[in-house]
Amino acid sequence: MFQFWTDFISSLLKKDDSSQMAAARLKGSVFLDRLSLSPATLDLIRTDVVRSISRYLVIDENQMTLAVQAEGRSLALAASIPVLRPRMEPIAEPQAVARAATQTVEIDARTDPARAGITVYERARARAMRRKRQVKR
Amino acid sequence: MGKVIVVTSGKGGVGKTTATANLGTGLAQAGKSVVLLDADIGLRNLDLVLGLENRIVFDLVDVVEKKCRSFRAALIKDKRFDNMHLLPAAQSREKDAVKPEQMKVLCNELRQQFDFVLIDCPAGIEHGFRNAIAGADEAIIVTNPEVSAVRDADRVIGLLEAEEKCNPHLIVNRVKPELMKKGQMLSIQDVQEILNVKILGIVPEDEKILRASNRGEPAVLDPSSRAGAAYREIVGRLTNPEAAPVVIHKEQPSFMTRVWRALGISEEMANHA
Repeated sequence: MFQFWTDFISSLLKKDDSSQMAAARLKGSVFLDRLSLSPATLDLIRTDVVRSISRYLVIDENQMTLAVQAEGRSLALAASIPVLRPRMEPIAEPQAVARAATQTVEIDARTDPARAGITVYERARARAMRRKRQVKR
Repeated sequence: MGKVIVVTSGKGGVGKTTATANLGTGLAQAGKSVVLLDADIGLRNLDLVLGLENRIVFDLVDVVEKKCRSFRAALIKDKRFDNMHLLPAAQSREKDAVKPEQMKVLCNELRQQFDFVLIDCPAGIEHGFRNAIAGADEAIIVTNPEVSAVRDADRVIGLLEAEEKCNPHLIVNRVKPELMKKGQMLSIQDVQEILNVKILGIVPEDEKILRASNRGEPAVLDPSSRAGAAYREIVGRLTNPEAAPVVIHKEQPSFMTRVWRALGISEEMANHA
């Protein structure tokens, strides 16, 4: 009996809703295409952003997202960068460069376009919900 | 003065030719004078889908190269409707046998004589596409709720915007509502959100489309065809701008999705748990 229920629950959990994945992946590539921007260039931008901000703040790069979003047909580069703590003594530029350089490989390995895409999707949905709520008021 | 509308998609196999044949036939049925122009030089098919393949004498390239007296000599009158004509593409030539300027001239001549000029655009975004859009006032983009078709549609919309062929309209073709309900197919809202263009119609997947092209009789004439009914609705929107717009049914999130949301757990996390 217990087996039945665990199977039942996991069958509910493993529902195939690949369309959300499709939408998120499409947004990821379509918006980059519109800007003639390659994923590699977006990674470079990300590295630069990390480098600049890391001079002043300690940030959580694992949780950071940087992606292109759409508002109608116009596009925006949206970043969400969680800050862990202030950096007591801001790093001078050359050191930051060296630091970023050692981290590039790490970022590349972690970069997961699908995950980034989903974040965009969720945020777009959240925005849509917020707008809807405002309309209701 | 008639309207020149190009039917395009970027990706092949999404149903451009079928859409052109059905819209043209539907418009003719609604009493409009229509000419269908097959711009897919070298890979013509509109004649076959309309069942007019045996009547071709001259083609688009002959008209442009002035091998026949006027475009009238190349027009094939439809079997069913006197007010519908086909201008077929050449089969043994290449896309560059025609230049965009020549297409502009031809489209301007055709629009004097017909209410609607529908151009069946070849797949791709190269020479054939440039020719097909050159003389058009408006564009209908055909896409499928599927990643590659939507991405290609976005590319084409971008190119049309760059050419200032404004106001592209979208037909989402080969829709499977059951799969959409289950979340296994891109929803109409997803497609609309990504492409951000006005939706002209939603055409369901229908086996009768295959039978229709087998017979050379567009499905729009078959009262029992679901796709045919969708095309009749689109024709209504083309002929009457005040016709009822497309209703996009909001999909209800599934019970479990709502549970996860209420608990503040993202579905991804729930699915991987």
